[in-house]
Parts: sequence; structure tokens; C-alpha cells
Amino acid sequence: MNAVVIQYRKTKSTLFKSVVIFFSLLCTVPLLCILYYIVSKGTKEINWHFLIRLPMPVGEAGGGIANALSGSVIIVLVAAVIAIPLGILGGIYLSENKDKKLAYWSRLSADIVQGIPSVVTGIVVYFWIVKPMEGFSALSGSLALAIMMLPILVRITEETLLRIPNSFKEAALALGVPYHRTMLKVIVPCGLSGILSGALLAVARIAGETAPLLFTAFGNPYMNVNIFKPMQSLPLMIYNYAISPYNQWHNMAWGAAMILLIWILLLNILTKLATKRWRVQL
Amino acid sequence: MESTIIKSENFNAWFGDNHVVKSVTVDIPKNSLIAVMGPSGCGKTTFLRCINRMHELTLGARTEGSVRLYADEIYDMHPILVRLKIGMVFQHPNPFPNMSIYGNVIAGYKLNGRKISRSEKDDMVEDSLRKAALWMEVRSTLRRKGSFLSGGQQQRLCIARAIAMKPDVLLLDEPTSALDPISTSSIEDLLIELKKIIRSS
Repeated sequence: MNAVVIQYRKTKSTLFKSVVIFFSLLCTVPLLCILYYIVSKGTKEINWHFLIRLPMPVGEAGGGIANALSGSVIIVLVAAVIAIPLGILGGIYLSENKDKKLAYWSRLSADIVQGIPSVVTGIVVYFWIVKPMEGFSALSGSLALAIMMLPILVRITEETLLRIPNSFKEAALALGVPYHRTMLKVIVPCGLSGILSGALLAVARIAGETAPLLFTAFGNPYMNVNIFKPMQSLPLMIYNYAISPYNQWHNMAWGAAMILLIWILLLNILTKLATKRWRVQL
Repeated sequence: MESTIIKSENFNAWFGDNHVVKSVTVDIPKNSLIAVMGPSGCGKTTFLRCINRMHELTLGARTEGSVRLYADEIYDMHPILVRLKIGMVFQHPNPFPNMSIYGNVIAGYKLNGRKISRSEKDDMVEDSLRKAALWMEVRSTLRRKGSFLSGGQQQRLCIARAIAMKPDVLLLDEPTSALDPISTSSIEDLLIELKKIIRSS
């Protein structure tokens, strides 16, 4: 092969590499822009009082987001408590009964539910829960979020458990261990890191949802920890404050957006740590 | 002549339409080491797995005929009971990756929810690992995960896990096929040792 051909190939290969690197850098641009914007707008709002005080009427300085923050935590927590056990059990069923008809249909419906727009989930929960109970409530918001979490959890659990070799199940069963204990004490612990990171990712995914909360948790300018009453949450608060005509509220919305961002970032870091901590060498 | 522990009569096994085990009639005497030999695919593994009913995990598996443990028909017993009395070591080492070496040895008790005291556990772990000729190598690293051991050590750990349950019968499905020659000979020596221990007790 002569030198010119080799030079030509080298140039092509370098060109391709540079294009790939350029576009991968380009992908980070929107993220960096958003981060920069929120951080520059939000940082000056955030201080200790911002976190622990309740909102003030328009015109009065020094309001906080305590109600939205506590509301968000409660709504997301209740959603997680509902969705995580169901999701893990469903995932176990799917991984254990790959070829059954029921598994096929529940896998399909999980995938479809995952694709339902969140606002539609919100409306459905509104007609199921809010209307019959005659009032908005944090619980209905949690339920809407739980419905959104469920398919993520089911599929991640299924995929994690499918990667665990059958030989461990055989080893446990050959020791005379009943099936349910084999699953709960051997197979699930082996996949714990995957399941846990799936759960945390699902929480991070729903923590910023606004649409399903609009007609369920509704929002509340006051402090409320009763899950049967309307409750404020960070995304709702950001939405309400951002569309208001007051400059001061706009700034608070930026502050709240920053808090939400930090929360989700922390969850992502926690996911990475959890994955490392509970990883099982298969 | 010693008494018979496993007695199979006209035993057949199928996977779907595939007739794998064809009317096996055999008496296996107590306290002995019996090797089943044959070309690959002749049904050695299937026959072994039928003895502790592990074949039931495979879809489409079906059996006919009788296998007895002493006087009890295995196929009339609950599979869990069968597997508690008939232990098994598999072709590929499979210590539980989520448990320590110590945890692996007592896994049969722990997973079955049987309460045993701390000192009983310690004794059982040492005794089983000694019988599996692994104690000297791992006694200072009992709390480490079993998956850090070499293949041969892992397989001996699996043997320790099986004999900790004090089964009446131990099935070994080509336990050395995935191992190097040195590990193979150490496991073969171990099995002969085990036979001596059982005979003398």
C-alpha cells in the first residue's frame, strides 16, 4: 500500500474522530447553558430563610419555600412507598415468567404506561380520586406520580434480575430453600444495586413532574403536612410563581428551581454511590 | 453388604419429546462413593438432577418410574424435603455472591430460617470447611465474599455448603469439569477423604 493511500486513510479517520468529539461536546451545551442560567439566577435567592420560611404576600420581602419543599418531599415519598414494592414484585414476576402470556401483557402495558403523557395520568387520577373524594389532596398527587414510577421500576427490576445467572437460584433451591426465600434472600440481594439505582432514578424522574400535580395535589400557599389536603410542591410552586406578574415571585421561582435541581443532582449522585456500595460481583 | 440408600427402578426421564434417561435400575449402597460415567449427552446430569428433583425447574421435564431414598419414594415427598436430605454440587462453582465465605457455609440454615446459636454456627463453619479441605486457606478471610476465591476454592466452598446441611446423599455433577488439573485432583482427594470420614463415624 503506498504512502498516499495510508495518508488519506489517516486523514479520514482523524476527521471522523473530530466530528464525533465535536458532537458529543455539543450535547453538553444545552445542559451547561441551563445549569448556568439557573445557578446565576437562583443562587442569590437561596439562603437559610428561603428554605425554612413560608411564602410572604406580594410586596413583602423574605418569603420562603418551606411549604413547597416539605410538600414535595412528602408527595414523592408517599409515591415511592406505593410504587417501589409493587414495581419490584412485578419485576420479579416478569423476570421469572418470561414466556407466560400474562407476563407478555403486563410487560406491554408497563411500556405503554411509560409512554402516557404525564398530564393524562393527572387527569385520570383527578376523575378517579379527586372527584369522588370531593377535594384535591396530596395523596392523589402521590398516586399519579406512583403510576408514573411503576413501569420504570418494573422494567429495571426485570432487566436487573434477568442478568443474574440461574445457577444461584439452583444453588439455593438445591439446599432445600423455598422459592420465595430463594427470590427474596438470594436473587433480589444479588440485583440490589441495580434495583436500588432504578428506584432512585425513578424518584429523580418524578420529583420534577408538574403536570400530574396540577389537578391532584393542586398546590397550597400555606404549610400543610396532611396528605388528604391540597399540598404545595416545588414544581407547582415554580409554575405558579413563574407565570405570576411579580418580579419578586419570578426570583423566588428561580430559587426554587435551583433547589429542585440540587435535589435531583443529589439523587443522581446517591444512585451512583448506591450502585457502588451494593454491587455484587457475579 | 451395606444397606442401600438410593434405589431406582425402571426410571425414565424426558425433556419434551426427548427421552433422556431410559429405564435406569440401580441400587446405590450407603457410605460409598459412586461414579456415573458415560459419553456426553447420555443423561448423567439429568439422572442426578432427577434424584433431588432439580429437573422440575426445567420446563417440559417429565419422569416415570421410582426413585427411593431408603424406603421413601422421592416423588411422593415434598421437593424441599428431598433437597434437604439430598445435597448437590454443580458443574460450575456457584457460591452466593451476596454472602461471605462464612455466610455461604451456613447459607442452607440461614436461607431456611433455622435459628442456630453463634457458637453452633462457628463450629459448623469450621467443621464443614475442614471437611472440604478449605479451612486452612480461608480461616483468616471468612468475612470476605466467596466470589473472591479461585475456581477450585469456590467449588470446595460449595461442597462445604452442601455438607454443612448434613445430607444423607451428596450429588456431585462433574464438580471438577470447570477446574484446572491441580484443583481437580485436590477435589478428588477431598471426596475420598470425605468417604473415609463418613465410614469411620
